[in-house]
Parts: sequence; C-alpha cells; structure tokens
Amino acid sequence: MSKSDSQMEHMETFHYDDEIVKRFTLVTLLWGLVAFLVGLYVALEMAFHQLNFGISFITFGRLRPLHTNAAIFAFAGNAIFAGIYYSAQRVLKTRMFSDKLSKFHFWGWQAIIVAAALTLPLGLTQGKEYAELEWPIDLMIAVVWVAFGINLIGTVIQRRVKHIYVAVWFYIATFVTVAILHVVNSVSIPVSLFKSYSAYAGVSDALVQWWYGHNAVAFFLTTPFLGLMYYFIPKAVNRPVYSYRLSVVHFWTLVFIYIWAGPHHLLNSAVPDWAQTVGMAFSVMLWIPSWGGMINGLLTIRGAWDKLRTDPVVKFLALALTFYGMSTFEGPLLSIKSVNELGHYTDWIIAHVHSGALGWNGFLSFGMIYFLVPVLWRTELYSKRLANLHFWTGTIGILLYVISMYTAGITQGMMWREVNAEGALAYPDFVQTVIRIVPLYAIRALGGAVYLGGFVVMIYNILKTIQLAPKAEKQETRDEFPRFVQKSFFSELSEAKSFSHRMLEGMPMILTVLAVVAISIGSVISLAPMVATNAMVQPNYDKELNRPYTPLQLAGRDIYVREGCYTCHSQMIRKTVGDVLRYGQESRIEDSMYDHPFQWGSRRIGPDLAREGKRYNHLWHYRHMKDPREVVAGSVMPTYPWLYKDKVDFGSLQKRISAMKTLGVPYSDEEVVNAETNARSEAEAILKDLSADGVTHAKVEHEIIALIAYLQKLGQRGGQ
Amino acid sequence: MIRQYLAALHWTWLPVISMFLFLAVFLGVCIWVYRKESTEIYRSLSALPLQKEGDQR
Ligand code: HEC
Repeated sequence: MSKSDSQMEHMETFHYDDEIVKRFTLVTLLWGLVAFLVGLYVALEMAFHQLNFGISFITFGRLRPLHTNAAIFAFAGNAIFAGIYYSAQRVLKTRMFSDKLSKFHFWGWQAIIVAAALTLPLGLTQGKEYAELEWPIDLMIAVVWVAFGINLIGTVIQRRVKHIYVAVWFYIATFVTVAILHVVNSVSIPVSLFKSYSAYAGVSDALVQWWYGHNAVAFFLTTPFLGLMYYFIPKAVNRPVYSYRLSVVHFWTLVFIYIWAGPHHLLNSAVPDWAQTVGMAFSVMLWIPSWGGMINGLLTIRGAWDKLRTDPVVKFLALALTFYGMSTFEGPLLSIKSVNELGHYTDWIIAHVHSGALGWNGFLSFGMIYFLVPVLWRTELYSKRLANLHFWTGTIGILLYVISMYTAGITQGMMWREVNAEGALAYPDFVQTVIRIVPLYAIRALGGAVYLGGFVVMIYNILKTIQLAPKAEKQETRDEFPRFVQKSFFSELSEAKSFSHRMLEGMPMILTVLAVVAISIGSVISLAPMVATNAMVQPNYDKELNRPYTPLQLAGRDIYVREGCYTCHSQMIRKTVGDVLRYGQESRIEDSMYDHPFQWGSRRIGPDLAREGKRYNHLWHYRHMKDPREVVAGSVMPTYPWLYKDKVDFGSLQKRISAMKTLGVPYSDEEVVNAETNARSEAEAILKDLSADGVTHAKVEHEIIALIAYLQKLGQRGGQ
Repeated sequence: MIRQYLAALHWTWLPVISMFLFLAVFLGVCIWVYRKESTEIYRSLSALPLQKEGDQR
C-alpha cells in the first residue's frame, strides 16, 4: 500500500465464504462428467450411426446442443464461478457482498442446468447455437446472472483494498458483456410455454447470433479464464505477474477488439462484404492481445520452471496457456477469408474449438481445482502421481482429438472443392466425402474417451482428498486487513495527484462504464448491417421464390428446428466456386428474410440444404428420413422413425402464423385465420402424391409430411 | 425513410474508422500504463494475490 493511503486505520478481522467455492468446485466435477460423457456419446454417433437407435431423445441433433451447453455453461460456468468467488474475495480483502445472493446464484444456476438437460433432449429449442434454451429458461438465466452481477459488484464496492486487481476487471467485463449479449440475442416472441420465434430473421438473426456466439467464446470462455489465470498462476508459482502493465494493456485491447469479430463466422456468406471485412480485420488483430496475455502468463511461470516438473497445478496451468496460445493463433488464421473458405463447415473448426475448450478451459479449470481443493479442505492432495497421470492422459486425449479432426477437416474441405479437368466436381456425391472421414471419427471418439478417462481419475483423486481431509468444525478462512475508507468523488478530486489512477484502478463504476463503452462501440458497428441489410433487400427480388412459408411448411420448419438438423446441415451457399458448383446459386439476403430463426448452420456433416427444394421427389425424402442408408449407402444421418407416428398439432398453426405476422412476415388476415385448413389441404396433396408412388401407411397429420413440405420449399428451383 | 438513407450509405468507411478508434484506445492505454505514479501502484497491486491469509500467517 502506498503511503498516501492515510485512511489506513485499525486492522479488521473477517472470514471468506469458502462454502460457496467448495460447492461450485464440486458441481464443476459433476457437470464436467456429464458434458464429457454426452460429448463422447455424440462423437460415437458420428462414427457409428446405429447408436442413434431411432430414439428421439438421444439422436445427434438433440444431444449435440446438450453437449455444447453442458460444456460451456455447466462445466466451464461452474468452474469460473468457483474461481471468481475464491479469488475475488481474496484480492478485494472482503467476504462476498451477500451470502444469500451467493446461494441464490448457486442453486439458480444448477436449476438452469437441470432445466436445460431436461428440455434439450425433448427437442425444446430456439434453434440458435449456444443459445438453444427456450424463453422461460432464458428468463431464469437473466435473473440469476443479474444476481451474480450484483453480488460481484457489491463485493467490489465494499472492498478493503484501494485498487482493484486486474483479475477482477476481467470478471466485471464478463458480467456486463454476457448480460448484454444474452438479453439482445434472446429477444423472441413466445407462442407457447416452450416454443418461441426469434425476433430477428435471416441475415439479421445471423449477425446477432454470431455477435453473441463469438462473444460467448470471448466473454464466457476467455475473459473470466484470463482473470483466473492472472490470479492462480501468480498464486501457484508464488511470484507476481510478470508485467502488470502488460496485463492492463491486455485487458483493454482484448475487451475492445473481441466484440467486433463475430462476422468471421459468416465469411463468404450473404452478409455485406464490408461487415465481413471488419470481422476479419479485427479477428486478425485479436492475435496481438491474446498472445500478449499468454506471454505474460508464461513469463510469470518462467522464474519457477522447477515447479513445472514437480507441481501438477503448474503443469496444468502452463499447458492451458500453451493451448490458449495455439487456439488464439489459429482463430485469426481461420478468419482470413481464403483459409476460412477451406476450413469453414468442416471438422477443422471442431478441432479449433476443442483445443480451446479441452486444452485452455479444461486444463485451466483442472489446475485451479487441484490448487483449490487442498487449500479449501486444509489438506494435501491425495495423490500427485494420479494428478500426473491425469495430465498425461488429458494431453494425449486432446492430441488424438485434434489431430484426427484436423485431418478430417482439411481432407473434407479439399474434397468438397476439388474439380476435375472438365471443371466439374471431383466428388459430386456428398456422401463420398463423408465415408472418407468416418474412420477419423472413431479416432476422435477414442481421444475423447482418453480425455474422459483422465478426468475420472481426477474425480477419484479429488474425492479421496476430501474424504481424507481433517474434519474441522468451522472451515472458513479468517483474514485481517485494515479498512480502506472510500472517499467521496469530490474529496478525491481535491487530491489531484493520484486521482487519475484512482479513477481507473480504483473506481469500479467508472471502470464498468468504460468497459461497457468499449464493447458497445464494437457491438453497435458490428450490428449496424442488421439495420442496413434489411434495407438492402432488393425491391425486384423473386416474389415467387421468396414467399413466406405456408402453414404446413412452417410446421415442417419447426420440426427441422426441433430435431436440430442445423447441427449437421447448413443453409447458406457461399460465394465460392465449390459451393456454387455443388449446391447452386449463392444464397442471397432475400432467401432467408422470413426465417425466424435463421438456420444457416455452422457445420456440414451433411450437405447444404439451402436449395434442396425439388431436388428429389416426395417419395425420396419419405424413404430417406425413415432410413437414409436405404437411399444413400454410407450415410451417417440418423433415422427418424417417430416422424412417421407423431402428429402435427394443426390446431396451433393459426397461433404460429399469427406470431410470424407480428414479427413482420407479410401474411394476410385470411392466411392467419385459414392456417389450419390450408395446411390440411397442402398435406393431402403431398399424401396423394406419395400414395400414387405406393406409400400406404402415411397419414395427413404425420410430421414427416410437414417436413417434406418444408424441404421442398427450400430454395425452390435450386435443383432444376 | 431512414432505411433508404441507411441503404444508400457507403459503409466502407466504417472499417477505417474502427481501425483509428482501436489505435486511439491502444495508444491511450499504453500512455496510461506508463504514467509516473503507476509503478508503485502496480507493484502493490501485483503483490495482492501473493499475500498470505490470516490463517496461514
Ligand atoms: C448426424 C448428422 C445429421 C443430422 C442430425 C441430419 N442429417 Fe441429413 N444428412 C446427413 C448426411 C451425412 C447426409 C448425406 C448422406 C445422405 O444423403 O444421407 C444427409 C443428407 C440429407 C438430405 C439429402 C440432401 C441431398 O441433397 O442429397 C436431406 C434432405 C437431409 N439430410 C435432411 C435432414 C433433416 C430434415 C434432418 C433433421 C430432421 C437431418 N437431415 C438431420 C447428416 C445428418
């Protein structure tokens, strides 16, 4: 403390709330297990499609969102909270603002996770990646998140130290940005308790969604973990951070730049070029602060290299940083348009994501937990050897995973665009490019299993540690620190010398406001095309091609969203030779302007469907959805037997069409009123067609009929 | 009206402005961290995580 701190008065004794940290730590292990198990299962479904078993709840399209949500919000989320509650109390020298809010946060978050785990397999989804949860759960998230925020900022305000350590800045930025992202992206109009339509459509929805999606990576999987890094690495090696100055530059540049990068998920798409350019430029620039941070972390460890051999905590943290460096080098690389053309929609992206999630988030959390548990339970780690075993199995698991997925991604990307001497596609049948990589899916699953095995060893090790710990009566950590009396803003002004620093490092409100300003600039500009592109719809667009969905088509679209077809199929033909040769004319803004939500997708495990309409007849789809392998040998697409039994709720169609009308889709009042009648007669026509082709058991109400109506509408004349 | 206006705009200046904004922020922060009184403040700040807690003293 500097001498100017004339407020230094008598020592105060207080206790940290360790109970909440323990709780979050334990559920991190529980949800980590769930997330990794589900991940392993969906990986196996890719390698062995039979594992879908024709059971709706466990089919790939429904489980994959469960895996991603569990990994991000349940595993990483709880790990972040454990680390934040531990470190924030200690660097702010105070107990959490409110024990009640801490408890509410804990139980509220677990309730959200349980709700997600129940609803996603049931197909209750908004169909937007990493934001799949339906609107009532979205509301729960907002409330619990705000409780967390109040608790965090309250703690900052009642701190005993004068200046706020940089880790806490990262936590504050996390809170405010995630709040904004979540609220803006989740705006939707409910049609029932568990069904809603996104307020945005098509290209606007895409921009909002990827502004959200990318910044979920930035402000849920990066900034909080960087905060943890700035606390736990110095702690583990018992040395201060290498350069505090660098950490400040790191913070502001990262927060400022990250928010712009969203459009790099939409390169070569129908999004306006200038917006793509902004996304690309800022993504490339991101490399600098990211590596600044990584180097700062590694140089902090530098003085304690011996610990790298002996201390499992340091090992995990150091490797986490290495993976952070790898994925933040790769991210900018993948944002370069030409690299993106090859990598996008392939398993390269899956490799990229997992080197980040398993390597950076996973290993950092593991290192932190190996540090925390002995401290919190006042004991030694049960077995260092098991921790080392975990370290090596984890590393081998990740390597198997990413190497197989890089190979699969680059192989498939090259095959998609390869043309022969005549200028035609070398692999015209999409499934040829799938069959080639299926063996790699098996290796990926093996990698996942090895990583999971290491994690199970960790759970055993941690539980043993806790079991053998001394059973103390009261385990809260006691600490002493003089109270720092906060002065009013004006008396601060009169002491002008240290004022400027006090402003940033000392005043949480100003810091928060500046952080909001920093992210708002990027947000406003990267969402600007949303307003603009709606205006860019060509007045002379093809009114026949781009008409709104009929009620039956909309019912089919809802099934498409429910089944998570977007986890395997894109609906965005890029402006690239390979795409246009394979799928037809590039997608335009008008093609998806009534799509609430957009379904452009991010991965092509199956082919793009933007112009699927009329490519095949009804019978083809009828047979294909029942058993894809009956029509396409070697397909890995799941079977959908329940679509041939379950019935469309025709009664609700009027409400759904009416909701779309509210959102601005140009339906007439008559179309709203007659929604059910129109849907039935359209279904009857399809049924007649199928009967003529020899299908006997189908009924008008069967969901498959509605799905066929939707698939046949897509892009309409594309196949012709 | 506003839509037509927005559609007619040339948005290409936005990336350029963004670049300058970023440069301003970056330079601003760099100057900020090298202010005279920062050394002492940063030294005490970076010592914060290393302080022993009451129980461990
Ligand atoms: C596990 C990934 C996966 C999921 C989930 C999936 N598909 Fe597929 N789909 C594929 C693959 C792979 C192919 C290519 C092989 C084939 O035609 O079966 C394909 C092909 C298709 C085709 C044929 C496209 C063409 O032009 O040849 C259609 C139509 C289709 N899928 C519709 C759907 C619908 C509708 C859903 C959701 C109910 C769905 N798919 C879910 C993987 C998937």
